[in-house]
Amino acid sequence: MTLSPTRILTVLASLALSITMSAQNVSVSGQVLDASTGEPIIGAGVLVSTGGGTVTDYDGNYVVSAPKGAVLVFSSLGYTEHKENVDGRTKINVSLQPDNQLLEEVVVLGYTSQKKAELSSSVVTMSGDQLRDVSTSDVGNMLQGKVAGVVVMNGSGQPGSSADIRIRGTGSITAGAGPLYVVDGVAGGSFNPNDIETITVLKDASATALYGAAAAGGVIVVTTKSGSGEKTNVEFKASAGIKRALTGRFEPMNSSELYEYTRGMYSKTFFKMRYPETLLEQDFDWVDNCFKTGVVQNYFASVSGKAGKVSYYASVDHYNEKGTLINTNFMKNAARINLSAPITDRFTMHARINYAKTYDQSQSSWRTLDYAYYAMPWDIPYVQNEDGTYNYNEPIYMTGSTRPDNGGTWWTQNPSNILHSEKYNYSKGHGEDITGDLQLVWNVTDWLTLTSINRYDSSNSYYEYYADPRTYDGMGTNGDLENSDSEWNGWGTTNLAKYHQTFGSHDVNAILGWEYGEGYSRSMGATGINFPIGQRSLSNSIMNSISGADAQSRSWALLAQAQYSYLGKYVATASIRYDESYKFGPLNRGGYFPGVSAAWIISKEDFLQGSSAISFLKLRAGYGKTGNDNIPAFTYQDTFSLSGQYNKVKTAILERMANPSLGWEEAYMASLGIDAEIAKNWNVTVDLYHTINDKILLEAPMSPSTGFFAVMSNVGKVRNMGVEFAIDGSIINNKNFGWTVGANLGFNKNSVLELPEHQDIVMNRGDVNQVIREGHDVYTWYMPEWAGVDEKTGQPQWYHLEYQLDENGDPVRDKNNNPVVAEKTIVNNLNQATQTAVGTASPIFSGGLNTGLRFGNFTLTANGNFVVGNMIYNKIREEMDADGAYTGLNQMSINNGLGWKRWQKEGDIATHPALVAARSDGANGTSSRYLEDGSFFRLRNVTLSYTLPDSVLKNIKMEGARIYVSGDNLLTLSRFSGMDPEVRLDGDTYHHAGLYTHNYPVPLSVVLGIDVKF
Amino acid sequence: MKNIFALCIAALLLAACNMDFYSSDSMTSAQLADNPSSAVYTTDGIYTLFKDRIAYKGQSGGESGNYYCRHYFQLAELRGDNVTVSGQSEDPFTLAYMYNDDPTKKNIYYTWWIAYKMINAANSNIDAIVPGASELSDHLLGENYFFRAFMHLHLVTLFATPYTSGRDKPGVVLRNNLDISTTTRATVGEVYDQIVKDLITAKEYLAHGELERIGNANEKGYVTLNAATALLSRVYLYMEENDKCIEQCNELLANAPSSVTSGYDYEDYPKHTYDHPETIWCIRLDTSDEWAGEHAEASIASMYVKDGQGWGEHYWNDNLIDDFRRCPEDKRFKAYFRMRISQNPSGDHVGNLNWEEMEAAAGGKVTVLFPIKINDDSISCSDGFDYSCTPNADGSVPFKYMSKSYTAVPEVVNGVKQYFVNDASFPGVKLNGKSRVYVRPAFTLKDGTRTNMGGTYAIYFNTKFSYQDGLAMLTSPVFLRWGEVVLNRAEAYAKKGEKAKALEDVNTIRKRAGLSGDQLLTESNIAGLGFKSVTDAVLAERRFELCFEGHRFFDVFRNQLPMDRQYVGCHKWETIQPNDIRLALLIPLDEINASGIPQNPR
Repeated sequence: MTLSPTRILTVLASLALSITMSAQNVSVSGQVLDASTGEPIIGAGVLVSTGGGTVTDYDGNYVVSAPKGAVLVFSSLGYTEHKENVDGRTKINVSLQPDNQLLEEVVVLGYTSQKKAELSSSVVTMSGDQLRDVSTSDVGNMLQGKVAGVVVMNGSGQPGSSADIRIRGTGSITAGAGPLYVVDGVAGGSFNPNDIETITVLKDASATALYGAAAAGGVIVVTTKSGSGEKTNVEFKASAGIKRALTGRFEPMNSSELYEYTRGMYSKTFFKMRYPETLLEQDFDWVDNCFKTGVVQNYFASVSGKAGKVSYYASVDHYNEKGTLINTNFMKNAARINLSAPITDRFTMHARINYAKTYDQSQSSWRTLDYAYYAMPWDIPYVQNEDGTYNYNEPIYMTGSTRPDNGGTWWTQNPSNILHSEKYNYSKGHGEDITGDLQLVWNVTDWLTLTSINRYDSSNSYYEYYADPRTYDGMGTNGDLENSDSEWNGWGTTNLAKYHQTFGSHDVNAILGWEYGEGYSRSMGATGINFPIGQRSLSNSIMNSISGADAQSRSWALLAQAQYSYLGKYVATASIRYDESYKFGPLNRGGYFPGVSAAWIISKEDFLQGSSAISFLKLRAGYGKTGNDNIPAFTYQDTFSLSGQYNKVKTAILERMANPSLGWEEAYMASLGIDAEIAKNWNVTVDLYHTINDKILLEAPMSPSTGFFAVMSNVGKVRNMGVEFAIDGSIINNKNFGWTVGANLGFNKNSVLELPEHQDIVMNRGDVNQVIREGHDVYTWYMPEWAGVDEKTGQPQWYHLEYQLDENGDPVRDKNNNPVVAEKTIVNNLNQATQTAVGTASPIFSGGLNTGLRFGNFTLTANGNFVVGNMIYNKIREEMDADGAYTGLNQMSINNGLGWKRWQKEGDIATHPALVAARSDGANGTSSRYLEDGSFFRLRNVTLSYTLPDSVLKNIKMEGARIYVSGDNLLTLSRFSGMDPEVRLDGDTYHHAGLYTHNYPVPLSVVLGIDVKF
Repeated sequence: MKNIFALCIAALLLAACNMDFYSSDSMTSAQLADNPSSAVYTTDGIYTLFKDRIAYKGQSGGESGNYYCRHYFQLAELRGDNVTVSGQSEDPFTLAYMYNDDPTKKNIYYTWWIAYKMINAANSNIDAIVPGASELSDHLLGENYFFRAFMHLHLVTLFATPYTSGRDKPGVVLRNNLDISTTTRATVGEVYDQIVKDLITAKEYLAHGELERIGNANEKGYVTLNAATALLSRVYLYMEENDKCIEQCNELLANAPSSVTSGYDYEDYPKHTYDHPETIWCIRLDTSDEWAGEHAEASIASMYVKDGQGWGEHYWNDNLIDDFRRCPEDKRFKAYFRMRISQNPSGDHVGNLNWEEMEAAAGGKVTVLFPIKINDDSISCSDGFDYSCTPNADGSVPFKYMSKSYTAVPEVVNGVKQYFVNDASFPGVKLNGKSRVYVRPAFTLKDGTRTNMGGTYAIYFNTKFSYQDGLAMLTSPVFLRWGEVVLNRAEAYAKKGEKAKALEDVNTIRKRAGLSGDQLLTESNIAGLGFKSVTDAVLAERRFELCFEGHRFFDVFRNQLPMDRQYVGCHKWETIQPNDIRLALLIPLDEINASGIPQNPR
């Protein structure tokens, strides 16, 4: 038996108890528990306000003698102090909340937990409350701007959409580069943001290597709330608000602007003939009519406590958002129950069930967003009455360029009125997800714990599209109805043996684990056509197409970790994981992912002991390897698609070349960090990292004359290196007034190190190119370089480049690996211009700022995030800033505050060429002309809240009450000409990072809310 | 306890060893090879590639209309002089029409990629099928040789200069085996030589037996011996190997169906090209194809007619209408020329009017329309539209434009009745000092609106790709038919100087189209009808017979003739010479970027 300090303390306290007696007192007994784990706290102090006290025994039990009106004060190191009025009671059980302020704070890292002070890798933890200021259903949106080195961008304002998250830059190119979520100890799973107790972002590979597969993009660990304390806690939260689409600097022309613009490109006679002045009376604001005021509501209730030995936490949640774009919405109903029950004194069971049902609707056609941007203001989309007024309840049905109501012209190029389609058609779906965890913990001995976490996850979704026979979309087939459903079932088991022993000053921790999982998915769908108006059943339509498929998956892994700490001052951790992935060929399935890290808590050294300037200082270093298999299944096989038919007979088309050598993408990260607390007030963190992603999984382009356009391959090397800073603290903190500030900043430099045969790889997405070139950022735009407008003629200009060639006829490269230009000439037709590397879609740095002001019971918080140095390709301008190329699409106003100017006459220094109707010189083709600075600062959230004072709470028998008003995205500073500079970060098969098209912009919202606790 | 735990782990680890999974909705080549008829599946896959939308870099979802037949017919036809396109759209077919192709656009890269995908599939089948194993397998082998030849011909005619411009000019990438490790451009001559070789091989295999899977004896949706022979006659014609061309045509025409001479119901033909005696080979579409159903708005027809889902953006060009109007009895014009109106003057809803119905509705009223320049970039549109014109007794037509009076005076030029306005103040575009205008029947509908000539263009639809199974957007597009074969021989005879034989073939086609008497050509009357030579007359006939079917561009430029494109449309007002560098389409940028082969000049 070893003697731990707590045991010695217990014995001493028991001795003290025997000499503290008082005859008039009652004897009070009870148990002290840890509120988060429900486990007894040994050696907790119980002080009586009138004097005397005791400590709890091995089971957390105490007996103390106190006057009837006295107050008991419960305390223990690492927990918040708790007071109870005796009120004549003889039994008082309490649960102590772990104290987050102390350095003893424990951080949940997924498989393990660790004292924050002794962490040896870069980890950021936030409580659920720190996240839930913005009004969103997506946890990614909540993280925006809050963690150094984590870039979050949401390219869509569609309710229910999720943001892209990049931790420490992008190493992968076409394989998924997003983080891995670990919920309650196991990778994957589902959770509701309101149930989050803490969220932890693991940025270092030394920490994430333990997750091996799919951890190359970092790990986000989510811990959900659990029952705490003897007392029943009831919480109710309600919020509701309105939202409005943010359209930024983008403004389509109004009727008179467009009229003047059009006049500028035609001869006088022609213009007079074609464009009567009566057009000026027709001015329809399409943006305003496609984007309406949205509504967001969230209601949440939870109950937690303890019944007998069982701790429980249960919640229900209703989230409802009506989007700003017409006919878009999202609704979610969710419920969770978390139970913990000690079965025996060494055996505990934790059971968790999360259920969510979502309903969503998006616009019925892709044309809806297109129209919102470019429909002509001269088109009033309602039926005109005989008297010339319009019937605003009756959108006009258009299929051609002549209006059926008044014989007038429909000016928009694509003659279909989306307001008519949106009146009848819809595209919506719903889905269900249930996740159940059963976690068994067996404390075999003092030093060995066996844990088995078993999870079953089942989800299904249903999608329905309906195009009414009366509408443009449904008319051709006399109605179009699509139903499809899919389901997913998976189970997994994670089994860990945890060892922990202390030998004097030596503390040793180790885990050994094994994981196994299987998944099964199935889908089927059908479309029907030709049915009467209003009919919505597939069985009453004519079958048009059917589809269906299923797929299985399996994974398993072994993992081990050892940790050693000496005097709480020196910490070293080493881990290794072996993973197998079915996505690779039989010879390449296995992957080993090791990680090592060390920390030195310098402030514990003698020379810093008692320093008031530096109260805490730690140096960390780590190195680790993670893997990525985040690609579609079966890509290593050559496969024939049999989805086609010819003359009603099934046919086979080879869709992919085999690549039997396909294997893991690997990421090697080295990192160095400092955590410090300065002047007992300022927490400062500085991190440096260097990551190499090797054998990158890339859909490498092939020459299309092979019959293929790409093959999934392990290609090349990419490096990310960067530095991150985070600081937070309080400037003033007294009883009535407090002011805290925080900031974080992350610089990341991305660069491609190696490609096969050092050849550039050009990636074409949506007719826009990026180049993957050694020495350059992975997201480097590749297009002709714009040379401005010819002052003399008003013609557009680009550069044509002639390269210096070597003896093989290949261009000579300079030190940046760009071809050396021998001659640069100006050309006036885009087809003669040369593509070249012209800037990157990756930001140079990004970060966030936050501040909080407390004044009495009022609190004002604000946070914002910024992204600097990225270039966005604004593809909308190819259509809407097209200098006359399209006469049937509305144009964007060039009076947007960016100093744009149209060439009018010789000598004009202009940004925009002379207008030419239906031009064909490519002025509006893809070139760096439409490449814009994507930097922005956005005030993500401002919240003003009022907390009811304790005196009032006592009268109304409440624990807490808070009312607040919160505003999201109230301010955006940007020089981007589109609606929203927040564009997608991921480049995949379909998109480039940083490509802006007909995006659904994020909203500005104002929400009023109330939180009460009983 | 511990032993049980260890056993469980061991059992699960063993289970974990099996990590081989296969997609349920596709097959690996090994799985497919287990199938006795795998060659049928993979050969039919080539037919499917003509009509299905295959995802290129994942863009299939958002890219409607991305299928081979549509792109091919548009790239081939819109660069000719039969069609007017009303305005620039985001759809890149307008770029082809304007001779301003963009190598990053879908019509360019998709056509290129799918053609090579078909060639790759053919190469794989040729590699796998053992010759002589069965009649079926030999037929399949023949089909695959045919496809390799057919796709190389499409590629070399679209992405390179005509054979007659030089054998040694850069051609396209030649893929005649499964080796795709290197990519270079062969010469035009090398590509044609391979095409000829493949077609001769194809004929040998296809002659070995009938293809049992065709089922219906009238089925025209599969490649047959006739198809290979017909294509070879076309290839020899393009190579000016006139004797060999005639030889192939003779071989075919010896067993021609009676419709070749007796004619057929032209209006009925597009409704069932797939079992019609006139067809030699077409791509079989049916109502289960998306171009008949939910994506009918992206069919070939959708650009030619509006009826229902169509956009109706390609119109009969004014000059082609007037050329056809020389012989009003021509069944081919009557069958496919339509004007769409929603009502007639008495208020009845009607559909597509042919010319006679238009004239009847107009009751003698006409309108005058003409091209005008709308800016200095030579873009023109039609204008005019005075609906109250009544022709004078001498045939001239008085009309008002912008409140001024003008007169359109008729004159027969090259056998065609044309109208001119000889007035310096007239804003129409002048050619040789005079402004050509067009006279059309015109009427006002009961609700006061005008016919669909009231927009920026006179809108006349072409129904050659419509009405299969009663659907306006559906047809099975024809790649080879008897009409072409007869005219291939006619042209070859003409070039050999065998004028009478050439005209006899032309008259075969004219007779079946309902023409007779002095509308049939003789060596003595062709000059009076405006033809410079017999070859000129043959080419004109090819235009009438094959208009909109993707022949005109090749017919003009392989004969090293200029193409007059001075007519209404959103293109440049110009005459294109046969040495114009724009004839060879730009090769997709994705190809240039990946393989580094040289781009065509611009």
